Amino acid sequence: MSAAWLPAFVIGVAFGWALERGGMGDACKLAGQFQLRDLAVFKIMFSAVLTAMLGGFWLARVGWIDLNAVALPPTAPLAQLAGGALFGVGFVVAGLCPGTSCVAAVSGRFDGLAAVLGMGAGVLLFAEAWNGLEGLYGTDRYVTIPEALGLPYGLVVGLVTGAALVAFAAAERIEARRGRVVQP
Amino acid sequence: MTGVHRGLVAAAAVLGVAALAAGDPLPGGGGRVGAVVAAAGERVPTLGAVELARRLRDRTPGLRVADLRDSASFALFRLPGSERIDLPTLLDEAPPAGPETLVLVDEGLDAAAAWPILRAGGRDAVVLDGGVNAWITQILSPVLPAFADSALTARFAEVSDLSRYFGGEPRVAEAGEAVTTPWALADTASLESHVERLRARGGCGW
Repeated sequence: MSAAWLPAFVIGVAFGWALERGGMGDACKLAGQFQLRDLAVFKIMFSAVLTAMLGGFWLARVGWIDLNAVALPPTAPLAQLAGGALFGVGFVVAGLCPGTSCVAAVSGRFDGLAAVLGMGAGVLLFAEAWNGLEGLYGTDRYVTIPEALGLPYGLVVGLVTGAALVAFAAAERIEARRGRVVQP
Repeated sequence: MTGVHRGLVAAAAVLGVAALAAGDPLPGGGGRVGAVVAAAGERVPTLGAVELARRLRDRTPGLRVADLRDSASFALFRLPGSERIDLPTLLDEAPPAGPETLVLVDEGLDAAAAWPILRAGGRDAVVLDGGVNAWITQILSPVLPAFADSALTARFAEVSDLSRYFGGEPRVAEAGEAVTTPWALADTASLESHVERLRARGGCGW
């Protein structure tokens, strides 16, 4: 048996711990995202994207990791648009996403447990409906942003970083205007 | 915003700006990543157990069976002529000078994950469809349904020859015995119990 589960387990536990400590197990806090009064979710998730992107880019650049060994999910725009919309509706209704629902459930919150059970039911329904949905997945191609835009990898990293920093600043302003207490 | 936040923002800004001039993150250039990405978009080609058996029997030049499972699984059961090799070792290998068909044997996702990388490196690799279980059910213990038509029976004759060549035990299902697919086992016994049964029967390779 492969021991690959061990680092996955450790990283998963650390991820859950960080989410819980960041208050991400609280549906009320997450609902603040959609009421534009608390954009912590947006900032956390975009920070994670930025950290992974800069980390992956620079670790590969100095030769510590091989980007060829990094798994890439297939690009299926139609399926991902539909899935993203459904995900958003579920997020608004439950006030939780998959990761935070697990954190909430483990924290002893019944709404988290309900979201986890609903997620499991959704997975089963998706599997049952797979034959009818498979057409949404198209050619199953993998496309990266630099490839799609025809831009150098480093330029895309720089542009995404700039966009993230502007978005973070905007989020702080929106929160301040909508009344959330922003730490000095 | 705290001092820590400001520090992280500054670090991200510096790394982001520096990325503009850092060039490609791989020494080989973006072409290698692009090749892997392009290959990854294709269906991973597979080779059926019967076809593999045929090529092994015919000693097809350049055929190499690389088993990516762990050493305990490999020690329990191995395909004829196969070699166990770790995925990183395989990926680090230089392509051979001559013709090669690399058959990957795996129980997990390593083979499918390795294929686009091998393909990008110019290797001709295929994944054994169904893995070791397919070899056992289709070659070592093939079962012909009791009421098979003539076409299926004719095909089973060839599979039976291959099966006997590799020390297998082809048989016809008993009346009323459920055989869901050609050559499939009629029960759901585990790999270990099949290996034990084959080993107890004796013969070459055990």
